[in-house]
Amino acid sequence: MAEIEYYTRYLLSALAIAVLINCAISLLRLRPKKKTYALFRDLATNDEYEMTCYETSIGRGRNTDIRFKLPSVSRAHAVVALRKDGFYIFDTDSKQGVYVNGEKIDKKSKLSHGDTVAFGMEIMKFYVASEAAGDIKNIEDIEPEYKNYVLTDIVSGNDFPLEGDYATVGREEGSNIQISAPNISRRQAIFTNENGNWYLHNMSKNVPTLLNGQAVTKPTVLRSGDVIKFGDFAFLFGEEE
Amino acid sequence: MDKVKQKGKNVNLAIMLAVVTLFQLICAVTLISKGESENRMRVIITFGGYLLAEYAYFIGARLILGRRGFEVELIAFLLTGIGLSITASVYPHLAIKQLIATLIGIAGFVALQIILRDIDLCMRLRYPAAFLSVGLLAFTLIFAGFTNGAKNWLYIGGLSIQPSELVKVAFIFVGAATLERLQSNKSLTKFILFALGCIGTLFLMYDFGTALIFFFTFLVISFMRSGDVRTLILICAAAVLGGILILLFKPYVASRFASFGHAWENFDTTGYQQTRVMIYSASGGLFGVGLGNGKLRNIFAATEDLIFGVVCEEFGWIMAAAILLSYIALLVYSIKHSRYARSSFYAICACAAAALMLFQAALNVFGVNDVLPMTGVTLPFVSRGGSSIMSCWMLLAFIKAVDRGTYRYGGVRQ
Repeated sequence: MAEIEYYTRYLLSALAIAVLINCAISLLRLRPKKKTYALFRDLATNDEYEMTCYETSIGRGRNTDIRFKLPSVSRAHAVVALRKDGFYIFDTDSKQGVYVNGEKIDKKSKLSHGDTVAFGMEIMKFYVASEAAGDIKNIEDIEPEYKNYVLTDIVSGNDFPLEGDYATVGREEGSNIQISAPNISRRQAIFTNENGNWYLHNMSKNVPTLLNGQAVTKPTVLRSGDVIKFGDFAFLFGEEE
Repeated sequence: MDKVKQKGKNVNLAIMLAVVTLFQLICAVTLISKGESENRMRVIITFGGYLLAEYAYFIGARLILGRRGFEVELIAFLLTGIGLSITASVYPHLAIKQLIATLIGIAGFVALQIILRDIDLCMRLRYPAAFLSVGLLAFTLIFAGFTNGAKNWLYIGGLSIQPSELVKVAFIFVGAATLERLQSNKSLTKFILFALGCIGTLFLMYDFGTALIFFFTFLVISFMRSGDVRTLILICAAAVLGGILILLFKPYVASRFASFGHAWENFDTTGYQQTRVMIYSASGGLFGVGLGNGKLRNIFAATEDLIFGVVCEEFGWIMAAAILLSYIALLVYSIKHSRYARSSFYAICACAAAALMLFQAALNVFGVNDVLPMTGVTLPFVSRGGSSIMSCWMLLAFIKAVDRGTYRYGGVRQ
């Protein structure tokens, strides 16, 4: 009996180690596969930011998942979270607030595919990954169709059609409406399309963007006949004939 | 439905459960063969009840809930089994009491997993949990008497509980429930006040070990919430300054740690427990002297504070090392999975719980070996103690929550 007990201690050690080491190795190796749940597309630069976590923090701070080095963006500006019934955006006490389709949110708001989200001067388009594919392949297929609007230069009479999701205005090359004048900012403004409604966002700190004589301080929906002024340049917003 | 895909393979539950069962059966048979007739029945009831609970959990989770990964629970069941074996061997009359506490702990583990599914519910529960925690600690401070130099035990009828063990669970729960103000430094103010209330009360209770564990957990949660190292450095500096002031103006606090680093010089007095742990641990060798054959079991608090020494002596160094490795594995697992967790709430909870366990284990192991001052904290899952085992099992629910496979959807009740 004593001999059995003597050898039992080896067996006990072997059994415990088999469990603990196996479980420890498994725990150290296990890792969920990366998957993209949604993405933000920067309307000014066209950069894309994939969201591969259930919660994605956005801000100027070093610890955020999506980082914008702009003074108008707070260090911890917002969090986008995936819940059972879809995506939500939380304003994490940012100074400038979070705007979804031009409306300032109060603490949290539901996000839908194609929404425009503004964090300070950063304006993004939000896209949900295709549930079946688990990626962003099908975004173009589910884009809604938009009516075309046009900006007409009041002085020259030239038309600038607004098409697709957004249009940029500024001195910068590559802007949809490029105005090569010194009193216009490189990125003066952005027009975004929300389910057929066009919104105007001011992007310039120095040169005010005026809508019907009023400075644009937050994303504002446009109506046919509105007059928009960038520096000395005035445009009329209306439907394309 | 979000099907969880992962890299790496889970352990085979059937094989591992069979190995765990065999381990526990061998321990039970060894104790039965050595025990008196009265104690044999106690061992049979203890291990019978424990095995039943173990199988009920795994069958329920696998067949009813369709879960796949069970590494975390297997480690916990094995460690708890080792603790139960030592308790049944040293104090057979307390084995059934320890089993009941373990079963309550497992029930708490399951209940907390259900609560954690609903993040909105967790957010609503954080304030009641915070007030209840501080109230419970304050009640203990006022009404508890001194036990082993600290006022941390409440005696209700024939039962004794250590409220600070249960408050550990609430501390992490309250600290992590912060979704609306994630990554915001401003969000720390209320948590700092809450932590100050808990740690201050523990200090007044002379429960320095637990106060240190709470402070460490507070640092982990604060860092995960704000990511702000400067604030944490300021907090640590304030804590060190506060500690120095306390030692200057309350010299009797320092006397509690007088024998630290001088255990061999105080061989038969204040260093009695530490020196015996070192002597008997060394005599255990790689495979131990066998369950029930050790000498350390005769020293005061052998099954609580000194249990790591008993494991080294009776089960051997290899098993002791594997136990420590399992705490490290739980922390690494929590950190790795926190990136993929369904909510930052789960990520903070899991990292805080696993870090707490590892820190507590380190305080226990280094304390009994005179590397750190002996603070009288337990070795998670292994040490005897109802409140301790209940709190460990409930903390495990936080670690389990970080796994995407635990909840199918992002923290919302289905």
